[in-house]
Amino acid sequence: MVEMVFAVLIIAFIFTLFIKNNRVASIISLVVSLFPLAAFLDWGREFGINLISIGFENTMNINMAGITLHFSISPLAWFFGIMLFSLIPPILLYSYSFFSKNDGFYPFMILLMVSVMGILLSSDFLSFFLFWELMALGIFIMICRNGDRKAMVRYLSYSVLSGVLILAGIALLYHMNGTLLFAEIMLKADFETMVAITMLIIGFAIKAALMPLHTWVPPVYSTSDEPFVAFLSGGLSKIGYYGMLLLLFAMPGARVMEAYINSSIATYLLAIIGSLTAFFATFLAIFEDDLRKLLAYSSIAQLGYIAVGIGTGSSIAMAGALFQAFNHAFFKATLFLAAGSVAYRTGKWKISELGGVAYKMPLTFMAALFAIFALAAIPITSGFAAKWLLYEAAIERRYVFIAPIMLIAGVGAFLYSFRILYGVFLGENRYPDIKEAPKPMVAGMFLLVMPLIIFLIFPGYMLDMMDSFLSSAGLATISHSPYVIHTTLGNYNTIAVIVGMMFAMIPAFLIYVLRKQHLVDFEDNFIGGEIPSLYEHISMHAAHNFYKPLKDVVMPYLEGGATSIYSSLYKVVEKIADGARKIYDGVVQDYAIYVMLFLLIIAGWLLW
Amino acid sequence: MVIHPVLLIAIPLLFAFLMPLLKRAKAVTIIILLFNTLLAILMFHNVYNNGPLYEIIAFSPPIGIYLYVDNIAALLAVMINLLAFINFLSVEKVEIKFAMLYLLAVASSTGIVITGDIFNMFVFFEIAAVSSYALVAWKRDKEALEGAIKYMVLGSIASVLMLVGIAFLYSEFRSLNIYDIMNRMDEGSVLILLSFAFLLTGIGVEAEIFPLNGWVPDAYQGAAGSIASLLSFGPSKAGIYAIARLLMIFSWQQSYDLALSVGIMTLLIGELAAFRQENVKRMLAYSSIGQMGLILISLSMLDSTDYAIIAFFFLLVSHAASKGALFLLSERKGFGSNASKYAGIVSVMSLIGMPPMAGFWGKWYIIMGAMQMEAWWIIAAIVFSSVVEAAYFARYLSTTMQEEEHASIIAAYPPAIMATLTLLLGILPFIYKIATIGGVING
Repeated sequence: MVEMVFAVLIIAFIFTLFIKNNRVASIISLVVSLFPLAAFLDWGREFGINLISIGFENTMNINMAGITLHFSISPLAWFFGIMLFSLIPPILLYSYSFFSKNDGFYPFMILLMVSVMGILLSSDFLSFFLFWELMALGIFIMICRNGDRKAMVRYLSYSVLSGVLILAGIALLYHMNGTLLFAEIMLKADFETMVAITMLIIGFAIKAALMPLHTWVPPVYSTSDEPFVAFLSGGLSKIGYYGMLLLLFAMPGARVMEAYINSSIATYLLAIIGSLTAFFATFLAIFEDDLRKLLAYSSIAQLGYIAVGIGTGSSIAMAGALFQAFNHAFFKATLFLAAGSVAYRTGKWKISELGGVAYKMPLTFMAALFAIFALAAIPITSGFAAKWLLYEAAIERRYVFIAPIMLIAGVGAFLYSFRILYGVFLGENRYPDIKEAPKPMVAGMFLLVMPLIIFLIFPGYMLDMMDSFLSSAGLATISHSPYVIHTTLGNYNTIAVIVGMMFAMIPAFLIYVLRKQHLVDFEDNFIGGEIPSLYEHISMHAAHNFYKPLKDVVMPYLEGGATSIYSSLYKVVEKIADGARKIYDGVVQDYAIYVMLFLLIIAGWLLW
Repeated sequence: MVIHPVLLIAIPLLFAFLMPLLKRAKAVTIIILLFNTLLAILMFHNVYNNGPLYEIIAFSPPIGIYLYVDNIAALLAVMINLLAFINFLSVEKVEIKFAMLYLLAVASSTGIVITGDIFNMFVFFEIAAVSSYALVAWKRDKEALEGAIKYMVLGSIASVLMLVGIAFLYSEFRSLNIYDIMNRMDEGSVLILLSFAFLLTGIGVEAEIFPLNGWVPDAYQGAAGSIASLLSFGPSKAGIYAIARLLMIFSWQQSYDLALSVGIMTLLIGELAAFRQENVKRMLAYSSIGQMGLILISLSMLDSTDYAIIAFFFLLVSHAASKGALFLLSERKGFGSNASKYAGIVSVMSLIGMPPMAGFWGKWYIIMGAMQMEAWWIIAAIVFSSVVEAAYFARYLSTTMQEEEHASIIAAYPPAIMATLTLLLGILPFIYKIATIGGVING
C-alpha cells in the first residue's frame, strides 16, 4: 500500500511537471492527494481509533545507497498524517481558480506530499532525514517561484542550518547506538545524548518557527503564493513539532528518558520559550499592517502554544498541544486562503488599503470569521477547547509564569483578529465593484472550516484520535465521552460551553438590536482636530494606527529583538568575510609569498 | 577483453597533435572525447569486476611509463572524460588550437589520475598546467590575461617545488613508483619530510588549497564558462586526487593532522570569501575553494574512519559535476529556460548538500565520520560553512532566477545533463558500492 501511494505520487509529480493547463493539473493533483489521505484513514481503521493497543505495523524496506529505509506507521504519525493530508485537498481545490497557469505549484505540492508522507512513515533516522530535506527542498522551490531575495536567503540559510544540526544530532545518536532505527535507539540521560537531543530540537524548532529562530517566517509567508503558504503554515510547520514529539515521546527509547525529561529543566525551558513566542509574536502581529505578515506572526504565536504543551509534557498538555496543532492547521490555512481571495479580487495586502470587503464577498467573510473565532479561542469553534486544555495543563503543573503569559497572548490574539475583521472585511465599503471569490475557492475555504465546527461539538472524537499515541507514549489517556472531557481539574462539557455562550450572546444581540442607531458620517471620525495628512486615504482609514496607545507603550520593548541581534551578527560575519576576501588581494607577488610561507611553515612544523 | 588504460592518454594526445591536419576540429574532438568516455567506462567495468589494472609501457619502471588503475582512479577517469565530453558540447565556435589545448588538458588530467609513477604525475601536471594557462587566456581580454598570468606564475613555482620534492624522494628511495615508495615508507629522514612538504605545496597549488590558491579567483573569473568548468572538474580534481595519493604515501598522523587543519582553513576562508562576492564566476571560484577544503577534510579522516573514503568520493564527483554545470550557466546573466533552472537548482542543492543529490551523501558520510572520530571542530566548521554557503547560493539563485536571457539549446542542455548526473548519483546506489569495494585508494 505504501509503495502504491508513493508510486502514484511520484508519477503524478513527473506528469504534472509537463502540464501547462492549470485546471487539468489541479484536478490531477486533487485526485492524487486523496490517495495518501485514504491510506492514512485505512491504517487508522487497522489499529482502531478507540483501541489502546497498536496492532498494525506496515514495514517496507528499500535498499538505498547501501542503507536501508524503514517505513512503518505509528499512532503519532497517523494523527499528523490525518491532519496534514486532510488539509491538502481543499487547498488544491482552492488553487483550481487561484492560479491562471501551472508553473510549478502542483508538481512541487505533490513532492511536498511525498516528503511529508515519507517523514511520517519513516521509522529510522536516515529515511526521516532524507524526506525531511526533501521537504526543505520542496519548500525552497516553492519560494523560488516567487523569487523574493530576502525570503530565499533567509529560508535557505535557516533550513540548511536546521538540516545540518539534525544531521549532526542523528550522527551522534548513531555513533552512540550503532543503529538508526527508532525502535533500537536508546536515549540515555548522559551528556552526549543531551547534546544530540538539543541539536535535534533546535533543528526542529527552526521549522516550527519558535522564537528566536522565527525570522525566516515573515518574509517567506508574505511573498509566496497563498495556497502554498496555507499549507506551509497550516501543515508543514507542524512537522517540526512532529519531530520533537517523536524524539521526546514516541520513540520507544524515549521512555527510558521520560522520568528524566519530566523533571528536567530542559522541557520547562521549551515551555517557557513557547509561551514567550506566543507572547511576543502576538504583539508583533497586533501592530503589523501587511495582512500576510500579520498572519505570519500570528502563526508563530499560535505554534508557540504547541511548544508549551510539549514542554509541559503531561497528558492534558499533550492533548492540548495536538488539539491546538489540529485547529491551527485548519484555521490558519483558512485565513491565508481568505487573505488570498481578498487579494485575488482587490490586489491589495495592506490592511490600511482594504475595507468593506465583506459586503461583496460574504462567503469569504463567513469562512474567515469562523477561522478567526477559532484563532481567538471564542467558543463557537474548537479553538476554545484546545486552549482550555493547555491552560488547564499549565495550571495543573502550577506554571505561574507560563499560564498568565499565555492568557495575555490569548487576549492579544483577539486584538489582532479584530483588526482583520474590522480593517479588511468591515468598515467603509471601499471596493463596491468586486465580486465574490470563485466557487472552488469558497468551497475550499468552507471545507477547511468544517473540522473546526465538528470538533467544537465533539471534542471527544479528537481525543479518540490521540488516545493511542498517549498510551504508546506512556501517558495516561484522558477519559472522555464525545461531549465531555474529564480532567483532574474538572469537566469540560461542550453543551455547557455552548449554552453559556448562548446566554452571553443573547443579551449582546439584544443590545445590538435595541440600541439607538446612530450613524455617523465617515469624516466625523476626525473631530479631534486632526488634520488629514498627505496620506489622507490611509490616515482616514479606521484600521490606521489602530492600537496606537498600546503601540507607544509596548513597541520600545519589542525593538532590538531577534532580528536586530541577527543583523548585528550578520554584520560581524560580513566583516570577517571581507577580511577573508582581502587575503585574495589580486597581487600575484603576495600569492607567491603565501606559497613560500606555506612551504616554510609546514616544513618547519614537520621537521620540528 | 583487454583494456589498455594508456589509450585514454595516448589517443587524445595523438589527435591533439594531429589536429592542425584535420579540418573539422569540433567533430573530431567530440568523437575522441566520446570514445575516451566509453573506453573509461569499459575500463571501469573491467576494474570493477577483475580488480586493479597494471600497465607497463616500453620499458620496465622506473624508465618506462607505469600505469595503475584501481576502482577509484577508473571512476575518476570516467568522470573527467564524461564531463569533458558534455562540457565540450556547449562550446559554440571551436578553433583548432582550442580543441588541441582542450584535449591536452583532458588527457593530462586523466593521466594524473591513472598513473602509478610520481614523475609521470609531474609531467602530466605540467601538461595540464600549460594547457590550462593558454585556455584561461583564451578570451584574450584583460581579465583573461590577468588570470592566466597569475595562474602561470603560481603554477611555475608549484612545478619547481614538485620537482624538488620528487628529487628528494628519488634520492631517498631510488624509485619513482608510487606503490614501491609507499611500501617502503617509514617514519623517515629529513629528506622525506622535506619532500612531503615540497610535494604538498606543489600539488596544493593545483588542488586549490589555502593559501596556495591565489590564482583561483582571477583565473576562473577570466576564463570562459566552459574553461572554468573544465578547470573545476579536470586539473583541480586530479590535483586533489594526487593529494589523496600523497597522503597515502606519507601516511603519518602528522600529515593527516596537517591536511585537517589546512582543510578546515580552506573551507572556512573559501566560503567566507564567497559570501561577500558580487561577481558570479568569482563567487563560484571561492565556493570551489571551500568545497576543496571539505574534500581535503574528508581525506584527512582517511586513516581514522571508513566513512572518509565514501565521503571523499561523493564530494569529489558531486562537486565536479555541479560546479561544472554552474560555471557553464555563469556565462549568461539569468537562467532563461526551464532546463537551465533545473540545472541551477539541482547543482546548487547538491553543493549545499540536500538529498536526493549526490552532494548530500558526501555531507552525510563526512559528518558520520567526524562523529565517529568525535571531532567536534570539524562538525562546527561544517555547520558554519553550510549556512554561509546557503546564504550566498540563495542570493545567487534569487538573481539568476529573475533575470531572463534566452538560452539556446546548446547552452541550456549540457548543464542540465551534468545536473542530472548529480541527481542520478544521489538516487542510484551503485556509487556507494564502488566506494566500499574500492576500499582504499591504493587498491
